[in-house]
This record gives sequence, structure tokens and C-alpha cells, in this order.
Amino acid sequence: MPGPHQRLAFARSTSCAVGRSRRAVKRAVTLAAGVALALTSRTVQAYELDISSSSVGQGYQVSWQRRHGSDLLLDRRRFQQTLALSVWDILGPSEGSQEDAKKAPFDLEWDSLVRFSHDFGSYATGDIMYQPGPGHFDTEPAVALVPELGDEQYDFDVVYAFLAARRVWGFLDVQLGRQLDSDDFELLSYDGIGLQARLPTRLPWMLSFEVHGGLTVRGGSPQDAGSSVNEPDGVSSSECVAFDEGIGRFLPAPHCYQRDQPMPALGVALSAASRAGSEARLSYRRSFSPAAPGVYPSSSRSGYATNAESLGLSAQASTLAGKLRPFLAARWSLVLAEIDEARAGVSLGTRGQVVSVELSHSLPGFDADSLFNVFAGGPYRDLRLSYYQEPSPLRIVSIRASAWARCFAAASVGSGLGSALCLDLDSTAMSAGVTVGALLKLTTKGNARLTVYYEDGFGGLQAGSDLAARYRLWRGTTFEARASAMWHRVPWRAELDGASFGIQAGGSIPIAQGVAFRLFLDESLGALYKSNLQILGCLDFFFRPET
Amino acid sequence: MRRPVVVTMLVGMLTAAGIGLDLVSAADDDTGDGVQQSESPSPLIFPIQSLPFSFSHSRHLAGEQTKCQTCHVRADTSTRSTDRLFPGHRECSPCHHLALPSPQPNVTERRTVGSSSACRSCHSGNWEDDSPNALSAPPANLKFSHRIHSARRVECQRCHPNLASIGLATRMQLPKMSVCRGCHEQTADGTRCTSCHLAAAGGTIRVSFPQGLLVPSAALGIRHDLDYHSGHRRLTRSNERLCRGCHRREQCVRCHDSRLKPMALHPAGYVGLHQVEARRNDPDCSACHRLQSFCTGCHTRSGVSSDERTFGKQKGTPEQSTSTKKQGGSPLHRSSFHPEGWSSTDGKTNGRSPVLHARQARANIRSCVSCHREQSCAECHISVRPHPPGWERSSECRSLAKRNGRVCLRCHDSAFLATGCIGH
Repeated sequence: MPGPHQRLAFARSTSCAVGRSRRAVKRAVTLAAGVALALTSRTVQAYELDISSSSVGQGYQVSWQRRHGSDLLLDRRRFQQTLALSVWDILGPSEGSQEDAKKAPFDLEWDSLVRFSHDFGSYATGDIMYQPGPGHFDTEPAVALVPELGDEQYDFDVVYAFLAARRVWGFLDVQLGRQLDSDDFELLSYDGIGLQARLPTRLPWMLSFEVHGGLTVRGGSPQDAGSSVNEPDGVSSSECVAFDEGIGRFLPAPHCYQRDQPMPALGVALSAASRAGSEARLSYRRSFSPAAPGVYPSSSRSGYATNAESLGLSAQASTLAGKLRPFLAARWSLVLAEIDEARAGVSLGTRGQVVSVELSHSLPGFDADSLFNVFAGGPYRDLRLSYYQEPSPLRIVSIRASAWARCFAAASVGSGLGSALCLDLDSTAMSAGVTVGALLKLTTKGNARLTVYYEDGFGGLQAGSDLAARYRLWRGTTFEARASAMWHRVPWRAELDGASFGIQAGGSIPIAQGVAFRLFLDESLGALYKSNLQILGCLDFFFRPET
Repeated sequence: MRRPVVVTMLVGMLTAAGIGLDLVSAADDDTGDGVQQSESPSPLIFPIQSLPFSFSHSRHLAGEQTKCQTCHVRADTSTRSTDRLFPGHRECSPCHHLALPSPQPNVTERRTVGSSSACRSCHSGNWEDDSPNALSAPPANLKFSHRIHSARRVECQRCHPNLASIGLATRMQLPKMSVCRGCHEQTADGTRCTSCHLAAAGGTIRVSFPQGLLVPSAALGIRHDLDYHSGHRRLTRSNERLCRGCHRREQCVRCHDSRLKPMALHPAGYVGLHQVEARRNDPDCSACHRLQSFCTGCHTRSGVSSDERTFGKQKGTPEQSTSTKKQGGSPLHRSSFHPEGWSSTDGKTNGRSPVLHARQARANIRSCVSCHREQSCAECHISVRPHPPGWERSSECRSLAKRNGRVCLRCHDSAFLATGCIGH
């Protein structure tokens, strides 16, 4: 039934979208609003919603380091439009006293974010002339030679859009739709359903069981309107190959059909949490996809193959009234048959100060369809120490200091213990760094930060400092700026060694109720660019109807 | 190169140790009234008050005759934190006969109290114009119902401790979050922060107040410090539920979708400055960027990667261009991104370290994946072994072949797989 007598005024914003994308956006928003309103009960009509829109324009230049001839500067112009719709307390009363909240049978929410982006300028729309053979020159659009540019040239994404019911029967949470979630190790984006059930709370430990399943959102997925950002890495949209049965080997193909295949994903997790703040979680995830027709030899096994499969364990404790917090997490990759991510450490906090130490391990892992998994790559291991003073309204200056060391082990298979412990200097590489920073409060309206750092070892050297400030002026106008100076040395790129200076400045200006304009300028001077001015402007709309 | 690394580590460790010693021996910050800074509730939740009164809870609560509700008569029925629960003249008058100036109503006197000098017995401080100083007690930025807690027989002392031993109750007698979490940690409502905190748009916690910005305490295990922009990975992945209390997904996407450069994370000119951090993968590029989409796309277009078609050959006269290179002039001045001998397999090239790219790739293959696609590596490695020593007998080979054997078919035929690692 229709909802309350409320007028909904959708924020308007300018857009450069082509007609097809504009209609798609309108359909998505209309559908989302209709779903939200259709679910509203006639008797309990105090749902809340807000709509936010952001129109962003960027302009800067990228150096085209041509092998023959002088370098060129490519203009990169980007426009991005996002539209977010959130509806919550669909079945419950509006935020008021705690007693009112008890009367809602469960929470029903809708959350969605859609995005349109367009790249124009010579970077994305220019042409590239190249020489396929002696005396022969061809010119093609850049997007034809660099298919990755097509992901942003005209791109419409549904970043997330899901309906969530929380505390159903008091213990069950359900999410349905395109979701963006994270577990202990990575971000997950999938179209499907997620459930979390919590056992009754009279136990000293609260147990919860989670399960999710759906289709992984891929850049080239058949679901459409999907971003590749959270897709498993390691496979590309270009330099595609397919097996030629006649010749008996892989030959270039016009399209990477394997990346278009649907990738179902499922996961389960069991977690326990104590009232004191200690938690433990055991999880399992697997994603898989069918072989694309014509890509692999016909003699090979067809059907589904695993793209990722892992077991995860994480735990953190809270002891001494929250002052001492040990933690550990590890993920066993069933594809690589190794621990690919692990971390352990402890933080001690008291009197507004915290000291922490952390050991971590990371082994590069990719989509199991990727060749990069079979190369002799090794993990890197970190040791990090940090100290910081907790910012508080009563502390004018807060200090932070940290030190880290990273060991790159050369190979993970067949390595001796010395390599595993980063003691074999012939097969390991190291880097380390220190950072010291301070935050100065400027009344309640702003702060200034100074950071000094030094890093050296594998990868190169960089040392420098940053000075940043943020201050709220009158009527919500804010100003922020950051000045940076750095000296760096890049291995085998002596032409890039030297000092670089940069400054970023900008702010936000409220124009009207729920409307703000943000403008940022970014200018740098260094070895690669004598000047590289970047301009970013953003027009934000926010609307929340009065209830 | 190892000595600076070792020195850096020692400096860092000594600094941390020194700070740790200071941590143990440091005196507490003091607000000046004998109160430990770390023990006071947040002024963003309970704003600073001005209570120009003289009062003794210890005297009033001595014995069994006077209870909290005797003076705080509206507490048991209060449903909102904005309710004013301070006792007024009406609540004090049954015991203290108050001679109130008009237009205050007269009260039955059992004991006559003097004029303004008697008022000063409670209304302390420096009066101005013969008027007592006004009470200033801004409402708490919370949602709270005393009535619910009273109905569940939660004693006042549970949240307001030590009243029987103090004089005037101040903010220090208001509960800190750790007290609330003693009951509300993991109840059905415990996961919903806005059960108690004021809500902002989207059902998140309101964090912006005139007194400042509300940030989570380290006691929650999700600190917000100077390094938060680059160091929040572990905290958010372990405490996503808590993060959602303040942050909407939209805020995360704004940085993690690789569309807008976060100024706090990447300095000006990062396009030309990211080489060192990318080679080390610190910070982890994949937190926001997909290597085979975002990174390879830009590297290919800008002529950095190995795709010769994008190196930009020109025919005829050189174009009018704005060169940013310091080296210039003659064609072919641009050296390869990689040094000479980079992909050599003979072990000895111009005195450089043998198999240079192999060592770099083994240390951090992610840096390769940011420029090269699979096929560019396969072109050489179809004949040059890419696997580490012992690969065929490794559990890694068997696991990969079992779960996704089609990737092996890029180089091996089906018959080989039957006798390859699977056959071992």
C-alpha cells in the first residue's frame, strides 16, 4: 500500500550521460524507490530515507612516455555521477525514544548506490599511431589498443543495491541483492543473498552463523552494470587467447570470453563473541566458473573449475578492560595449498596512548584462472611497531610514531627455513621505514598535521614530510590543504631520482540546504612533471525529507 | 642497502621502547580538579556542565530514609535524555523550608530559612546582581530511557557509582560507554549503535557536534589516529559491524573504487611518485585498484608497459608537443622501463645480477602484474620454466591442478597433466 503523505523531491543534478544510460539510471532509482514504498505498512509509516547525489568532474594530464619522439601530455577529463538511495526503519517508527524502537517487528532497509562515469579527453578518446611492420603505420583509437580504458569511458555500475531485514524474529539478518561486504581478508561484491543468524543472548558467548551465496560481480559479467574493482585479480580484458584445435595451441582471440563467465560464489562462517569484546571467526569461501566454450582444448575436462577457495580463521581478545588486545588471523588458500594471508599482534592501550606490534605474512594470490599463480613468487612478511596518542577533545597535540620492516622471500616452494624466516640474505630482499607525526588541534574547528618519514630498501628510497591542515570556517565552509616534499630514488630509473614537491588545496562550500560544492587543486613539481595541475570539482546534493 | 634498513629498524625499536617506558611511568593528565583525564566521559556525549551548587550526596544518602527518587522524582518516568532531572525548589522544599522571592509560590514552613544569605547555602559561586549563577547542563547527546532501566530493576548505583561518598555529582558520575557495554555488549540491540547514540542519515551514528567530532575510543579496538587512512585495513576487516555504526558503505566506496584520489592518502603528483610504494606494495595497491584493470590500463596507455603498439611511433616530422622529460632531443632517447639485461637468461649480462627480473618477480610479482598481462609473460615462459624448484612434487601444484587444471593447459597438454604433478 502506498506510504505516508510525504512528498519526495529527488535531488537534481547535471549530467553528461548519454540517453541510454540516463534512462537506465532513472529505471534503477524508480525501481528502488518503488520497492521501498511498496513495502511500507499502512499502519506504521515512519520510515526514513535520504537521497544523495554527487557530480564530480576531474581534469589533469598524464605523461605519455613515448619510446620514439618527445613525450606528450594526454588530457584526462573524467566525469562521474553517483546516486545513493537509503531507506531505513521501513517497518518501524522513526528514531525517537528507546521504548518506541522496541515496537518494530524487525528492521527493513534498502541501500543502493549507482554510478555513471565517463572519460573524455585525449587520454581515453585519443588515437595511437603505431608501426605493425616496416614502413607501415596504423592509427587506432586508444580504447581499441587498451581495452581497459573502455571500463571507464562509458561505464554504468550498480555498486550495491540490496534489501536488508535485520533482527527478524530477533536473531536473523537477511540481505538480498547486490552486496558489498568484507570478511577478515578482502572485500566481496556479489549478487545474491546473505544470512546471519545469532543464537540467543543468554549464553556467555554469542554465537552467530553466516552464509552467503550468489554470483561474483565481475567487470565483464553477464549480470551487467558491474565493476571489476572487487573482482579476483590476475586476468585481463586484453591480450586474449583461445585454443585453436587445428593448430593445437593457443592463439590470439578478439575477446577474453573466460572473463565473461558467471562466477558463483558461496561462503559460510561461524563466529563467537563475548560480552567483553573477544571474538573468533571461522570461515570458508569458494568461487567457481565454467570453462568458456572454445577457449580451452576440447580434450580437457569441461565444467566448473575453482577460481578461489579458502579457509579463514581470525580471533581477537579484549582483556584488562579493553586495554590489552591480542589478535590473529590466517587464511589458508586451498588453491595454492598455503597460508596466503596471516597476521598476529597485540595492542596495549592505557591513558589515551596505544602501543601495538604486528607481524604479518602475505603471499600473492590471484584468480585460479590466472597464469600468475604458477610463477615462482614468494611472500613478504612485515614487522610493524606503532605508538600513538588517542585524539581526544582534551588533548591539543597527539603524536604518532611507527616503524616497519618488510622481508620479501624469493620463493615459497622448496625454500629452506632460512628463507622462510627471512634469514637467507641471498634469497630475500628487505625494506624498512619510520614515520613520526603530530596532530595539533586548532580549537574545535580544525587541526594541523605534520608527518615525517623515511623508507629505504627493496623498491627504492623515499623520504619526506607532509604538512596538512583542515579548518572549518563559517557556516559549514571547510578548507583543507596539504603540502608535501619528498626525495626519492627509484631502482634503474635514475631519470626519476630527485626531489618532488606538491601542494593540494581545496574545500567545501555549502550553497544551500543539502547542497555543497567541493573544489580541489593538486599541483606538483618533480622529475617526471614540471607541472601537473589536477582540478577536481564536486557538486553534492543531499536530501532527507522531514518526518 | 641492508645497513640503512637495519639502522632504521633499530631506531624504530628503540623509539618504541622509550615510548613504552614513558607509557608506564607517565603521570596522568589532570583536568585540574583532581579528575583523571582518561576517566572522564566524553564531552561530546555529555557536554561540559556548570553546576554552581553546594550539595552533599553523602549527607543526603546517609541512612535509609533518603533515596535517589526522593529528590530526582522524575527519574523513574523519564524516557528521554533531554528530560531535566535535576531537583528544583519543589523537590527540596519538603525538607528544607525555602523562603523564595516572588513570584515563587510560598511553601509551608516547618523551619524558616533566611533571605538571600540562605539561598547562598546552596547556590554557591559569585553572584551577579544578587542573582545566583545559572545552571548550565546541556542535554546528553544520547538516547536513554530511565523508565526502561527502572522497570528492569537496574539500580541507580549501577550506572552512577559512588554517590554515597561524594558531594556534588558532576559529569564524573555519568556512565562511560564501558559501563553501558557491561550489559549491552551482545544483546539483540547491542549491535545497533543508534539504540543509544543519536542517529544521522542512513541510521548511522551522528558524529558531528558543536563540541567536535566523535571518534571511537581505543577501548573499542577501532582507533582513529593519524595513520588511519592507510592503516585501517585490519581494524575494519575485524570490526566491520562496528564500522558500520558510523560509516556508510558510500563512504568506503568513495576511496575504494579507484575513481577519486583520496587526498589524505596520496600526495600531490602521485601519478609520478607511486613507483617506490608500488614496487614494495606498501600500501597495498589492491585495496583500491585492480592490477589487471586499473594499473595495466594506465601503464599501457602511458607507454610504460611492454605493449609496443602504445609506444607511440611517429612518422614524418616530430609533432609540436609539450615534453615533460628532462632528457630530450634525439629520438630513442627514452630507455626501456627495465634496465638492459632485465630478461636475460644467461646469468651474466653486463655485470648485473643474474636473471635480474626473476629475482624481482619472485620478490613481488604484484609489481609485474600491474604492467604485464598473462600473455606477455607466457610468450617467453612457454619455453622458459616459470615454476620454482620442486614445483612438480609440491602440494601447490597438485592443489592448483586439481581445482583448476585448465590454467595448466596454457602450456601443458592434457596428456602431460596426467603424468605431471597430478600423477605424483
